[in-house]
Amino acid sequence: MNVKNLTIELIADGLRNKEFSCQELTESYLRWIEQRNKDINAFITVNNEQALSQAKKIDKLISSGKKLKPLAGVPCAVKDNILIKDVKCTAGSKILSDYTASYNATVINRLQDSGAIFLGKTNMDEFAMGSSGESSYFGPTKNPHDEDRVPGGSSSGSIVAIADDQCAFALGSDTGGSIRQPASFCGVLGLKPTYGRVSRHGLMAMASSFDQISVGAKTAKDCALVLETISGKDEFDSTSANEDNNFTKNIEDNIKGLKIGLPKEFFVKGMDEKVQTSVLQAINLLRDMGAQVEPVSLPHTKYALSIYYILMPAEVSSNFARYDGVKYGFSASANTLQEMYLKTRSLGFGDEVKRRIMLGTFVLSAGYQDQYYKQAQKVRTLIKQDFDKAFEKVDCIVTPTTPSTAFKLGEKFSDPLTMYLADIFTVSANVAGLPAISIPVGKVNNLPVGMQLMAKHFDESLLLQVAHNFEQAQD
Amino acid sequence: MLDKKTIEHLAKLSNLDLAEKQQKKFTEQLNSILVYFRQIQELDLKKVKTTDHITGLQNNVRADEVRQLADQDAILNAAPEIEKKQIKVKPVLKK
Repeated sequence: MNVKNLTIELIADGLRNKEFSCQELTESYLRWIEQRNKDINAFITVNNEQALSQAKKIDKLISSGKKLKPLAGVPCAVKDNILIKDVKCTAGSKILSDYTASYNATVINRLQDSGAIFLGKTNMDEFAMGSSGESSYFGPTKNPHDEDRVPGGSSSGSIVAIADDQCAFALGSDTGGSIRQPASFCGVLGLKPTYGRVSRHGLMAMASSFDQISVGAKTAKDCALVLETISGKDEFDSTSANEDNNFTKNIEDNIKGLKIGLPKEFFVKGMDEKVQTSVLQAINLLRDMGAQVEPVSLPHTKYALSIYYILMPAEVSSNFARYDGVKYGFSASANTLQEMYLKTRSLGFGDEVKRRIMLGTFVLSAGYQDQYYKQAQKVRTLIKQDFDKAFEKVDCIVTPTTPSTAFKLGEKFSDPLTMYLADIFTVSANVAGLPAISIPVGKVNNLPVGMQLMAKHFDESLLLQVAHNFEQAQD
Repeated sequence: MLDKKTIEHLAKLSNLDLAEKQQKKFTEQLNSILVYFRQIQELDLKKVKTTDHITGLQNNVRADEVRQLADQDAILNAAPEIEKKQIKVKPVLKK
């Protein structure tokens, strides 16, 4: 069957009305993935057997007449830094290229309980360090809108799989923009939850105070359903919060009277003018729907990227000590323990991973910690305060997601700093722990453009409500 | 700014073995990133508190009960070398 343009809602209806079976649906997705993977490279591991056996179970459930949960039988893709037990989990790295996950991430347990089908593990920038999808040990992923261009990163494969109809929804992760930026480049909806909304248990840690498992989907309602399923306090993640997790209840409410803040710091010289125009036009559409737009200022967000590249590598340098060839992963043969550590890590890690470990080690080292790390932590406080102040005036804040549309493969790869600047609009949300969504708003030169909305802590409902209203206005 | 000696020191601390060419490339790249950090020095941060943790949650603990939660075999099978259900490593203490 044709899997083009299928959403979670359409699939759920189709299964319930017996228009197709779950096995037929799953097989069709798997066949399409097989056809596309050599060109697009969205998947590292495809779960043919496991997916079909999950689908069989769902078909049995359907024929038994029992009520189905909203995600039952819906095929999805999972970023390869999220553990699914007994399935290879590589993080896009050589150092874990043969690692098989020994447990399920909490979000996987929750999706499994809801009946979702795992089609496979998606390609990503190595250890989630990248904004283009080019740094994977398993080769770059291509943007389906233009295969000479990057899809964005680091959740490249997950987002591309949705954009190319290789799955109905996907899980990714977002530490500095890694679901939102590729979502913007590929014309897909990408949501990073509030820090603490979704359990990180089973997500390979990159920067523990920034990481969040995130959702990629085709529609706001789809996104809301997935978020409801995966959210919630988890005893295995002490940073997970205990909050109300209903995102579908108010999603259809109109946005009359909604106060939207436009921060001048995010509409800057140097960004693509056509992208800026496209986003401003989308904001006008929100105005037409009854929203009020007013200027706000977030003066310290201009330092967000700098402090992100101080704090995040610091946390990375600590988290990555675990890749030592002892307990799992690639292990180099050597004469001594020390030599084994050095060789394993030097051969196993790519350049960007090494760069960030070194940078993190530097900012934490004696003599420099006060100058860099402590100062960055203080600026983090100021940025959070900027947002708190703005949210006294407005309900949400709107910005472009990225300063440009998808760039060409190889264009930024040789200059790390230029690559880092691709995240300039997205990092603030991770720094402040805020929920943020990228909504596709149109195209410039046939390449997708994304608009970003940020809201107060735990106000994902509002983001999804605006996204849904915007979608309806487009149709 | 980072010089050759500092890079060598950092590589040692990070347990990374960098080839000469890579050391040079990294020195250049890391230095350009450090220049970008200079903008923070324009701020007066004397009276600002550090944010160690974004949620403000504290002491989120569970009951101290023993439970078998992990698949021991799955975990051990991931190790490169095991012996009698123990992970084998090179000698840690020098003779």
